[in-house]
Amino acid sequence: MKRKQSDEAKKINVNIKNQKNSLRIENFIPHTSDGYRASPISLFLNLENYLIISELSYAYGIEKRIKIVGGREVEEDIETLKPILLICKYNKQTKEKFYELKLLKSEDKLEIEDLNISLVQNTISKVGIPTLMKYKTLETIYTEIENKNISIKEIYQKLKETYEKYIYHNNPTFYSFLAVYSLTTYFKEIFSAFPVIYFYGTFGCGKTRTLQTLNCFCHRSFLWGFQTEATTFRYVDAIRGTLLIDNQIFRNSKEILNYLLGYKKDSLIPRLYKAKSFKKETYEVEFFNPSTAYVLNSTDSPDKFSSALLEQFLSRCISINLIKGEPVIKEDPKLEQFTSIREDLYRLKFQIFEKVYERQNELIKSINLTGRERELWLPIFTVASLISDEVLKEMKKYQKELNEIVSENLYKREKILIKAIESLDCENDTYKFTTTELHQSIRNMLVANAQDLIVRDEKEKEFIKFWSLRSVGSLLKNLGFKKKSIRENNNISKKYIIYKSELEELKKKYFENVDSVVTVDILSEHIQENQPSKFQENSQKTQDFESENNSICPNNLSTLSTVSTKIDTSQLSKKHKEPISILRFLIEKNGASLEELIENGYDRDLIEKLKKGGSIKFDSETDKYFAV
Amino acid sequence: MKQIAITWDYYQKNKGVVKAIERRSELTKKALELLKNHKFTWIEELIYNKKEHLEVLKREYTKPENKDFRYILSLDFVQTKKQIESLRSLQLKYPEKYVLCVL
Repeated sequence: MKRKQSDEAKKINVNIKNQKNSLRIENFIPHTSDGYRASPISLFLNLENYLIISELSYAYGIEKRIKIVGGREVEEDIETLKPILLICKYNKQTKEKFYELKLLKSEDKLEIEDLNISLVQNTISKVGIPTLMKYKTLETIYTEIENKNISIKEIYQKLKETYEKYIYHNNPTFYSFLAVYSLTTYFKEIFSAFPVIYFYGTFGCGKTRTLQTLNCFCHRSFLWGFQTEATTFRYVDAIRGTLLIDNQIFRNSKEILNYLLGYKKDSLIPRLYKAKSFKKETYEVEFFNPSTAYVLNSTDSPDKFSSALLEQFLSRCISINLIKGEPVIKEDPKLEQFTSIREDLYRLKFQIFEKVYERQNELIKSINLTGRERELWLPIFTVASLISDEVLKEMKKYQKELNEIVSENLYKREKILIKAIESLDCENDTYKFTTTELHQSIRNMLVANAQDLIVRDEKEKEFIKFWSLRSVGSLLKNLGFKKKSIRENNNISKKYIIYKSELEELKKKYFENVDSVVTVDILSEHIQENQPSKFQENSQKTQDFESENNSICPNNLSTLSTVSTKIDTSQLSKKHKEPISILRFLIEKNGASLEELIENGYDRDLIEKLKKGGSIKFDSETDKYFAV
Repeated sequence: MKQIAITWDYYQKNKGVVKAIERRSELTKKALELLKNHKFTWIEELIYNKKEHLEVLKREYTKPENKDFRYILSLDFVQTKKQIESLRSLQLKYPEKYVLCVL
């Protein structure tokens, strides 16, 4: 007993000692580390035993304030509007839910499982927005006793029917998608990334109407007109709802990059602001998290974006073309018409959030998508699967439809690079090349085969703009290739060494979800020339070309593979130039010299063949070839 | 409500030797005194009782004759839920083999 007592005494002594020896920095004594922080209005915490979410509401109420009148403290009741947080803690083991209410403050704490989670809210809106959860709903969720159970299937059906009435579209799956998306916005905090939705179409195709209808049902939605970067961030920080941005011109806009940043949950944007507490003007850094659900609309189709923006955009967006037509209900939907559905959606959020989280974990393993695409569609698929298997199937089908359009432009540069490597000489299943050789190979693929001189000139300019030696090198690095020293003819040189198996792996990754890889834009001309329909006139020759290609690249994955295989100029011309093109070229140019023909990618063999066949003739007086 | 948790094993081991209390450590003495003088129950059992109380409150809430007292029932419901929450966190801290002494 004495020993135990002395142990306890020791502990007390250590505590006293620690207090005495606390680190003192000038007049500041630190004691606890700056720990885990979370945004109180978009809370999703996955702790060891608890899942935690929150919801925001604004309510009028009586606040007791102390006023000093004539040197005496007097209590006064003041009617005021306050932001209220409803926090739900789900016990993973017992599957029970516990609720807690808090007033929203710029700094607060949430104590759970011996953890102090600091709740930091940079911006607090003075007033709420009409689509926030109503106080009455908050009350019924909190007290539980009067809360009604909501069926996700029924609410999905209601949403779908409303969208069908208010929006016109020729694809019925579009309505299902909107209904699932609206439901998904209520669980956006659960997912590590949330897709940006982009609607495009001509004037009067119903873009604004679509946003107005979404505004009635999406989570804390707000229809946003003209906005600046600063107001967007402040607003997102204050409400973190679904931001519906109408009629923006994004073509070369940097703004869209900010929205795209909001796609990922943990991305932060630093902003400087003037510090007030110092006499001398100083600046402090403030971090904004732009993540929320964004829905954008514009008359610009994504292919109008600058190429640097396009890839970033497509990989983070679900872009949908809207079709002009007459909806069943002509008048615009009003927010107040759908209050009860919206409130039910908030109830549903608290009723099934743990199921959404669990289903997400199951689906992430089973859906046959990778990388960005998986991030983009996981929220939609998760909620769809909770509605029914049919809805999940419908969404998967829709994803494939939309993906066909997107995949044309996605990983364009990587695809070209892979194809260019494939077209190089392969010895013992190994490709050895320098950056310059690969650069030349890309040039051959993209430029050397253009028939028309003007087109060729344009392609040359485009090539120079986008494909420098440095950019090829950096792309190779990005793909994970490193230069290695090799000995060739007693000389040591540095080259990239890539095994055929490695290249096949890369092809699988970058061409995986593309049924038809032919759609690499820059190469589209060559590809079109190789379409069977265009080959009908020369079927025999086409067959010859195809058999040649197959022998060069037996593992071709797509039609593009049959187009660009081994790059040496003569074979390129065979593959990319059919006789009809050279004839058209000669007719259009009113004859061309041998040099001119070779320059444009038509090789001697082909010219001789056609000459023998009587399709073209040589005029020795003008030293030119003419079409017969 | 004050809550103190001790292990079931500890209780089983020591309940027979309460007489020898003088020779025990301070902590043991304290715990055994509690066992001797106070009621105790399993946390799970306590939660079960409180949950039954919730069901009663729910039933009473729907009765038309209680219409004017619904706010009291609702407050009681919230209060009971809070007690269950604190008991659950205690249970998480000390897993199932522990018993709870209620003072």
